[in-house]
Amino acid sequence: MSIVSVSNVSKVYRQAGLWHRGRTVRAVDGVSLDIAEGQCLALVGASGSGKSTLGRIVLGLERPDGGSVSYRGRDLWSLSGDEAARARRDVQVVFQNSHGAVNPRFSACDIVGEPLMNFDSLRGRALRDRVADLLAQVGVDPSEMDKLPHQFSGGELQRICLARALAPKPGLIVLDEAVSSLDMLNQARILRLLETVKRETGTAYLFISHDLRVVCRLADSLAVMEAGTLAARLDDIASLQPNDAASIPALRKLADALLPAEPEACRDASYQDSPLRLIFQI
Amino acid sequence: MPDSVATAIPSTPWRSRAATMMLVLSLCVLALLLAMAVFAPWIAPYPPDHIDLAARLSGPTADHLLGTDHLGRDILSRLIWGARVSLGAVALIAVCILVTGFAVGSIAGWMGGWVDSVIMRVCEVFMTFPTFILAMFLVGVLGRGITNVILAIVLTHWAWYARLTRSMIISVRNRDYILAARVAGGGRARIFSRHIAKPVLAQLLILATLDLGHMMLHVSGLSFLGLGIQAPTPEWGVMINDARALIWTNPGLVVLPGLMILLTVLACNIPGDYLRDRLDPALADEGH
Repeated sequence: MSIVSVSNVSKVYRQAGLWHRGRTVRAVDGVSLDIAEGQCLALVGASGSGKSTLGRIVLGLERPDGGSVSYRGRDLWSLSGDEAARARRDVQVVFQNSHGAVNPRFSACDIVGEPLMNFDSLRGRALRDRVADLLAQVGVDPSEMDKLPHQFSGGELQRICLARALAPKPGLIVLDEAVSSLDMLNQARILRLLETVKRETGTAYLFISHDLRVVCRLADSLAVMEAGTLAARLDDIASLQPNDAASIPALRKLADALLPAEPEACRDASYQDSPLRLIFQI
Repeated sequence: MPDSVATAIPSTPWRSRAATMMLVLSLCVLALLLAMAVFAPWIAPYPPDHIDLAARLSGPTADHLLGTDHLGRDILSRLIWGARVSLGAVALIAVCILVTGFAVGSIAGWMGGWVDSVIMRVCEVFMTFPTFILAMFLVGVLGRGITNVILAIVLTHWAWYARLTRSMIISVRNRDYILAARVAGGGRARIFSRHIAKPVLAQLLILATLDLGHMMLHVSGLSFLGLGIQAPTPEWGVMINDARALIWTNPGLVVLPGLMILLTVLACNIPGDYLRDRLDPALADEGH
């Protein structure tokens, strides 16, 4: 049973204008995807390929111009009242830039408590207790819950954002480049945390990233986006064999999406000549 | 040479101490002006329209500390009562402008789309009217009086506040944290009151404090031109207008109300500047 499935969705952005028709950009063009319960679907692609727009469509933040989004078998945009609220709390998000994803004037408690106030009407003591539990779950010291965002490091704040996403006990979390702005050590830590959360709570992920290496540890299945369309799709990563690369066309497509270890642009002469490069052999 | 560098750049503690002194001083002046306005009937030695033709145009005496005008009215009393009229009008104008500007700007910025376009075109129409021309028009149509002056100033100023509100809301409404608040189940009204209203109002209040002096000048200026508050009422602009003919023989009659206006404008601007620096999110973040 899929939590959210999109079929043949497309999204066109129009530059706004009162007197003239603006230029249009097809961000997503006829994409179909299924996100199954408890599974991690990785969505990789270059920047500008429409991954984030698709993520917002899955979140119900953007209404697609064509195609349909269904939530547990029902059309997401025709839900109302309690059903709409249930769908809303069941799909949560973690954004790339944790400092931009939180109100700079809110304490950690206000940030994590926001969905609890809205969905569960928690207040006061009960709210703080639940927030403390959630912070402990993501590895942030609950005694720091009254600090403001700028007093946390990027990694800590990203954990707080994850705690906010976990607060309404969602079935699916959209991770929109959730570890891309962290250093490698923090990336590894957050990925391990995501793995633990997935195992313990059975939450499904839609893991959006431009970097295959980040998602390969968590992903159960994989989709590659290219210029608004799905370029390739791999459903059962666990069963792949190392020598499948030549036989499965999707894997070859995937190789194009993978960032090379040393991008072409880095290989210019000045960088090669740097003494630091020789000393540290980088 | 470290020594010369140290003397060339004024050290921050000194500068901040001077700034703090100015701030405290201007707050004291403001408090004094407010006290004058509120307690005018008890502080003022004479009623503002008490005419004593025997003592007309006297210099400072024991009876009249700042002298009297051409009708023998006590200048000090008129200045004190004037604070009530001038500050009252300015406060009323500021409140009207803030409420209208915030409400209209919020609707435009938060609703977006054609509502925004229509409201902004209306704002542009209002922004093209110069205050004095509109005031003359209103006075011509509706008659003289303080109400019409207040109306004219509000009508020509609210649009700037509305535009500012709108642009601030537009700059935050697509931030990730607003999206996150939507995902966290907040309705439009909830998100507006929790995430948007407070910072926007803070910025508007700063702008309003900086504008108070400017509004004060408008009220006094229009009264000076005879459009606003009328002659017997003790208002600073009116007092200057009354004393125009006596500027060479009794300059105090013009200078004193002028000084009051100057003092008020300065006392409003300094705390405004301070608030702007203090509440600017970028600067406030560095403060921690």
